[in-house]
Amino acid sequence: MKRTALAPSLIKVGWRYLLTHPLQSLLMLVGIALGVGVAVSVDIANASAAQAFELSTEAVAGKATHYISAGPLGLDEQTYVALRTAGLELPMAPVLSQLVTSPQLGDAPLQLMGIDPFAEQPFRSYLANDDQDTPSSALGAFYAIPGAVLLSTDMAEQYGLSEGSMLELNINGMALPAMVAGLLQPRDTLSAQALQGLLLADISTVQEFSGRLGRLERIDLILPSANRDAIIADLESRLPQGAVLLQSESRNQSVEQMTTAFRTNITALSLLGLVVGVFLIYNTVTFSVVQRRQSFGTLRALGVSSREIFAIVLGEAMLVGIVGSLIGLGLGILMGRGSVALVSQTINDVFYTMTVREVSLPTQSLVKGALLGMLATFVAAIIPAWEAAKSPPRRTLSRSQLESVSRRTLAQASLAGALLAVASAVALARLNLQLIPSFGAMFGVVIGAALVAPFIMQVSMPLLARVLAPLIGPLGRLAPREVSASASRTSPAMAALMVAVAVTIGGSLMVSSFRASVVDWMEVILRDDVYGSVAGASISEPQEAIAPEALERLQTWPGIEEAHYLRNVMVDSPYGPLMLAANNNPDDGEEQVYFEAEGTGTEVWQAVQNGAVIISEPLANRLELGLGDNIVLYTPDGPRDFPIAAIFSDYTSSRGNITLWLDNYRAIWGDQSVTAFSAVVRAGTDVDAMVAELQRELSSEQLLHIRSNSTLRAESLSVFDRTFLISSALHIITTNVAFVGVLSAMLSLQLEKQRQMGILKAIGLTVCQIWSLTLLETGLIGALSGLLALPLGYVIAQVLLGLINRRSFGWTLRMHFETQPFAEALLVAIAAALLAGLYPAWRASRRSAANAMRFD
Amino acid sequence: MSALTALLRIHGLSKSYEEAGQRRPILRNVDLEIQPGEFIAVLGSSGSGKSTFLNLISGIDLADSGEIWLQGQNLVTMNEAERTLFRRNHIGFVFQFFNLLPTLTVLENVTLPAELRGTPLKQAQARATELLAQVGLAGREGSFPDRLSGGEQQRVAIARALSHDPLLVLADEPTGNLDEETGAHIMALLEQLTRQAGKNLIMATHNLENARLADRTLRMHEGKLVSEPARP
Repeated sequence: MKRTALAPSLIKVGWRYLLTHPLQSLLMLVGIALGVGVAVSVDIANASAAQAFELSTEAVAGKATHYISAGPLGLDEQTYVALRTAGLELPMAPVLSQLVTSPQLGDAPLQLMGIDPFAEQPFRSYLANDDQDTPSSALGAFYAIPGAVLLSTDMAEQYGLSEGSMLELNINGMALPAMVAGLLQPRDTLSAQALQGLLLADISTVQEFSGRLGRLERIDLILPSANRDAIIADLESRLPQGAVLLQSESRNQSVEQMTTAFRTNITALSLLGLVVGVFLIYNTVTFSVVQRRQSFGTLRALGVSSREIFAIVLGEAMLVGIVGSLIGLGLGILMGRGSVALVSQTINDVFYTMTVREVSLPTQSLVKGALLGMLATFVAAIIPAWEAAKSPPRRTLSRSQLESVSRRTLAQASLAGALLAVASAVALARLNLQLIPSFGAMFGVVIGAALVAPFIMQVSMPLLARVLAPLIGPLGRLAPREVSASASRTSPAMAALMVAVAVTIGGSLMVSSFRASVVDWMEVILRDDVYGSVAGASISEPQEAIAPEALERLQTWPGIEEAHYLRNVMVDSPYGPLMLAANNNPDDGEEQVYFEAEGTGTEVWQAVQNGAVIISEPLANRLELGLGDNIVLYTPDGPRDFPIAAIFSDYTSSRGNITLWLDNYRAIWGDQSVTAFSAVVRAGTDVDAMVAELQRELSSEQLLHIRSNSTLRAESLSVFDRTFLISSALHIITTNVAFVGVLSAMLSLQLEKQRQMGILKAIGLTVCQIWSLTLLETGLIGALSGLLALPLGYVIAQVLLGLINRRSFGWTLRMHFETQPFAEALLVAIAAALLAGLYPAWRASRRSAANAMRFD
Repeated sequence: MSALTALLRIHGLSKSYEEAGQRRPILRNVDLEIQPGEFIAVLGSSGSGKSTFLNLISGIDLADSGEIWLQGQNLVTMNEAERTLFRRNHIGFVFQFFNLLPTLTVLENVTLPAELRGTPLKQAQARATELLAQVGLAGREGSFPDRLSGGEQQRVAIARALSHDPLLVLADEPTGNLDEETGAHIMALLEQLTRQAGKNLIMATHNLENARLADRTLRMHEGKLVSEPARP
């Protein structure tokens, strides 16, 4: 009779093994759960950030297809009136937005959006009167009361506010009174999330608050797809000089591209944790096969087919995989909250201001996580399951033959690994790979190296036995031989630890090199003694205008030798909005690190003063512009070409920026605003005392943040360090997964060797020597993993620095070689392995010789 | 008795293993016929090839040349999957080291071969319970093998070997791991149950006392199987 399903007793053979080996099953569960947990938490964080980005885009841009903009000074509101009364019959809405903070709203950055409620309905759903989202009384107050703002019921609840609550809004360093005039009742969860971090006010209120009376930031439009070109042409003919009609989606595209790259990076890092988890699962399943070689032999002799043996081994692994994945999902949801905080912090620091209060739990992330866990289990278990199945009954019964099969498999795997590593390295070096293929090739190098590592262990352990035996006696001979003889169990553990440690080295070296580049760069560019901007503004690209009175006082401040001004501003361009940094520092040409330049720093700066610009390396990479090219910017006089005189290194943002001469900027855009200043003080002046005095005196009207050179550097580096917190957290988790792997392998080994340990005890090995032997074995695995991780870590760092960073963020970073990450990683590997050996050593030392020898 | 009625017919069976780069012959051109219900003992010293002989008959191992016909089917021409099915349906095994599955209870161990053969579980369990009672282990069905003595484990193995109604029971040194007294009990039980069930038994042993119970005794010597003279 032909059977298709497994006999119930065969199923029991599988799951009862799991129950009777709870520690092994638990370690495997932990490996899968941690791997899945990390991947899910990062995915949740990414999804939450992406959703927050989409929702804030949706909240701000709404259904607009196009917008009219006119550069830094904005549009005259009469343009809107003219278009409204021209009989165009197009939905259009004026917008003026401003970043604000409020102590009553948690001091988090919020978007204050000035709108015309009557024009809003087709654009943004939260003011849809027909759906009764906003009480009409609130809208009445909206117009009638000065400083009236609307916020969502969720935000009001979160901060204990209600209609009529008073708020203090900090705008451009000034505290202004406002009042909650009404609460917006979102119609669903998505609307609620879209409204997080958003305050609405009448456009005239925002004009007054921001000091931009009569100005609009933009006019949103919904253009029908039919006959669109003609409508655009008609609209453009009606626009005043300097105003441009642009597509709405272009505004967010570049930011989206860069945050996608950032998210891809952390996803790749989180997946490395899962790769390490795969080794752990492989290790555990291999051990379960080795330990049951006699049972499988018996089953085969009784007529159980290889397919059924395969199903038993794979089935029990998948059972643990499913349970581990489910636990991992729970863990991922728990860790997701922390990851969301880290990811959104980085995005806020580096890319754009965003509020992620809601942790989304997308079904997609959970399904993806569960599938990943199961796929990882399947991939890891399929080889041992296949080996258990393909062995003929006699061989399954023989331990030595199993090890010899294992050694043969290792040799084949090493060869395949070497080929994979070389092919991936060649692809990385020779092919101009994009971001995801680059990560794929890096994974190829890492996995290839992990497959070669066991071969190196096989070769090196006998040599080590020769070296150690004369030094520490028979234990020195026994330990390396044991590690090598039990290759089927020690190899995966060693490979897992090596990968985890190498990833940690690669990551640390990348971060330390990056940090060193930033420190060197700051050394060149930050030469003034005092720096100031509006309090609460971005540290690297402040865009809030400083009151002219404060600047006038600064100019004549005793002890100030020379003051420099900077205007950071976003301007429109055919490539989307770009960041301009216009300054009037005559020595700035010498205070840049050039990536490519025509002539000396002085010559470059001379060209800039004559109308050229210099652009940062990330921008040059992103827009594929080079020296001698022109960059087009929309100016009040229409599109204008600016020759590029140099490409400079800049770590301010991965979005990139354009530097030009302040006088030229003012002449072209007619904007006199200054968003940051720096000053050189006379020799002998106490800078810290002057900073304290300036902070006190200049902040009477507008709160400024004035720092000394050293404080600015320290603040910048703390932002930098915060950016890499999530990477460090992921490295630590990966190393923990590897630790669990080594622990699992050592436990397996010790269980397997109980009889041998009994014999050793019987012939006179002391408890202390049993401890020494076990710890020597784990220590050797740790030391070899650590040593092999050193070159691999270096390669990973090179790939991260030279390729991944360039593809992701446009920076070319040079390796700053430091021995510390290598020394630390080696110590971590040995310590993790020794720690993993403690429990098995304790177990081995406690078991009596007689009991141990009875074990078979 | 004629070859036409033989249950098992082996012709020209040879097997060698590679050892240190050289082929070491184990079986050389072995011929044998076994009639239905016959109990054969194969004597020989350690390493003489007794176990290899049993492994070839069960299809666990493959012969270099020759034929093994059991009930009209030639094992040598079967592929791995066919041999497994053949073993599942027609062979019962008793090993020297019992080889019970540690994660299954006594009853489950005995039920397993019948289950594999497709016998409904209830029917398989009833048969297993009956066999366990016959080997003196009634009431121990729920115990796990590690709670049993060596003799008890081997009794479970005997019950397992018969549970799926095989054509042929192969026993490889069934008392080799037991003391003399227990071994004698086990041997008596094995003989009694196989004869009672009308099964064929081929037993590899180096114990002359055990071999005395067989209908025919063969000796494995230098790879050849030679008949032992009948003993008084």
